[in-house]
Amino acid sequence: MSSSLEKNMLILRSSDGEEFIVPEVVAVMSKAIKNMVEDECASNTIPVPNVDANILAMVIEFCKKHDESEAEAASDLKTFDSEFVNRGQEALYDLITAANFRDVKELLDALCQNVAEMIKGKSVHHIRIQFLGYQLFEILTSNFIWNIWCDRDFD
Amino acid sequence: MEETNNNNIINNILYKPSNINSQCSEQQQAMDELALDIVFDIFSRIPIKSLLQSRSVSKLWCHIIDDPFLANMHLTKAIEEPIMLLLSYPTLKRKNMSFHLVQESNRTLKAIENPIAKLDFNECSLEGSCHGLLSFSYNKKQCFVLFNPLRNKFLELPLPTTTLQAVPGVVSCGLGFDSSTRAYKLVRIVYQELDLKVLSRVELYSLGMSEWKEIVEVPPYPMQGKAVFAHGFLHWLVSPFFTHENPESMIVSFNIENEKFHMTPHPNFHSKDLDLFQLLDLNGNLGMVDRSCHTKIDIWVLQGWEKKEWVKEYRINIHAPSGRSDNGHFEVKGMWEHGEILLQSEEGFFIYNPKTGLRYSQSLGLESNSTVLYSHRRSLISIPKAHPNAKQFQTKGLEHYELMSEIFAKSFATGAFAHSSRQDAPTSDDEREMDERFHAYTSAKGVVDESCSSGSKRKSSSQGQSTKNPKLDEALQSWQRSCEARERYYAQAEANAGAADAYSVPACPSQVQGEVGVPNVHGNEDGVPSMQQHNHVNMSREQLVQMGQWRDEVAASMWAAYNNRYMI
Repeated sequence: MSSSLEKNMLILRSSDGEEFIVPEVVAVMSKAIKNMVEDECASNTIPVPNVDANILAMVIEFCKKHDESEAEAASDLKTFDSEFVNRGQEALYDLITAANFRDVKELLDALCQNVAEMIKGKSVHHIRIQFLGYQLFEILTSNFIWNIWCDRDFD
Repeated sequence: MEETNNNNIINNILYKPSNINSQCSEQQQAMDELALDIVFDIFSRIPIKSLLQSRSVSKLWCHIIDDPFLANMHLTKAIEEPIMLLLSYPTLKRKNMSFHLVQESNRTLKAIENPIAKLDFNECSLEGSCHGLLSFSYNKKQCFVLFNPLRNKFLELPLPTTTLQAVPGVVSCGLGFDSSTRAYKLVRIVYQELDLKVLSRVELYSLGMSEWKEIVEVPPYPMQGKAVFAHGFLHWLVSPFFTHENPESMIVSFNIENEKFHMTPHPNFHSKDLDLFQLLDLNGNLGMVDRSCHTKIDIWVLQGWEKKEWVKEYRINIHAPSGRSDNGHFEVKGMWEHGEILLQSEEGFFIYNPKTGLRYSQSLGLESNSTVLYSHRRSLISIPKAHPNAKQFQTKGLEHYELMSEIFAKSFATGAFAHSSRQDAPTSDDEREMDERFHAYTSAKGVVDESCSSGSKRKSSSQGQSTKNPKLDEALQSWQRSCEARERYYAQAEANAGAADAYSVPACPSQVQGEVGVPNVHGNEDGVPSMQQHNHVNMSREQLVQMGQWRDEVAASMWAAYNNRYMI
């Protein structure tokens, strides 16, 4: 494939209509896009459904960095990775979903590792609050509520 | 009034938690949104200790963590560090065997007081381990039990068929994992000495089977010690009684997959004294310890299984006390945290760190005759366990079998269609087979049966057979009658087929009448009459009655034929 020499540019369109111009070498880090390019069904704009502009920008940033720093030391890349994935939970989940659908293996690995680190060694209460959206209030009062619930009579 | 108010508050709290604390509501969607394979990926990166604690987070998490898929995924990721377990065997004071975690703090090795698991068997001894499953034998190495100390669940295996008559201590066992069939297999080798010859018998049990099976192939030399499972093979050292036979290698291996024994080559050693060597599991690789020199202990590791490449990974400089020409009094226990290696001797414990060297570690209450240190790898593997009361049904029949057969007699088939409840539900292949068996009964004796299309060949070939039994003749006659009756029935049914809509209003009463008039006596076994039912719609009452009679005739004669067939 001669695409890497010509540095072809591809246009990616996010779910909310914003367009990004990306070199092909960067875009094909996603297996899904790579398949599209190889099958030659990526003539002009590639739609990237269910990924919005914010997240797409992040994914592209990650891919660009990984593409550039292939020759660089692996430790540099590691620090970049750990900083990159250090985000709020919501962005993290969106990123994971995007990476999963677009099939970007490196990103998915880094993200999963990050979530695993977050879970590691946490107490059950902490996990419930942080990952399952339980309310602290709910946990503190759950016993109390349960008592009322059991004691009330159904008329 | 107050009551309802109270309920409203509760409903609010239970069902609309975001109203109370809105700043958290953005995190609400959280982890449930992720695809399940991603969740598995994440969970497989978490250490097992943390995972087991998180089982109580929610029901979904518990299910995911208990999933065998995650257990296997976790094994392949290999992020677990080995731990040291102290197995303390039952003594006069304690009845159970207990498992303690061993930790080092301030250069002191200490077993944690609370056991992580207990096993309640008399005189059991550790036989081998694989993927965090330990296999124990008890009752003079005749009964086996599999145990995962982290899950605290055990599984008793069925009894092997070969019983031990000769001298004790001639049984070798090993537990391995067959990755092609995803089954754990336990091998048991029994040696018996007869007329100065060693006879060995090999038996294998794979988890989930009902009994052991014997393997024809026997090991080239008797083995000693515990088996080490690595690279899909079980490895033993040759028994020291056979050094004079000068085996070409000291390691006997057993291929778990194709169930064959062979010798595994190893580096050249000066000494041939088998007591000075030791096999080890080093993070899933096979290790061999050379203790024949009095100034050092070498540990060789088999790197690539295909190339059989041995690498000297560790050299521990240690001087034996004066008077000893070897380091045989040391026993290498296995991997310890942070890539260190634990050694045990009569003087105590030594820990070897590849960077900083050897250090002595005090121990508190570890050296006792009834305890054994064991390097263990944590795993989530849980052993499928049958219901505790299920065992009695394997040997004992159902108590009220006769009574129940009376009650349910009409609903199960006998003869060619018989299908035991212990068998799996019949597949379409099974059904075809049964059908053929059934037709073979009917057509083999020269009965003309047009409804059986596949029988024509068989009929002509078997017509020469004569019947000797009068009962059989009777059966045949009744069969013939039944076949004729069936033909008449089909002819009638076809003549009336497609005459009117079966579900129109005027058709209803006659259909109902017809169905009431036709008693259903085992005739359903061939399935045909009931299928044809909605075709006799426009028939007169007499015709219906006639058909009902024919049908009864078919059924009765079939029943008679069955009975005769099985009385013979």
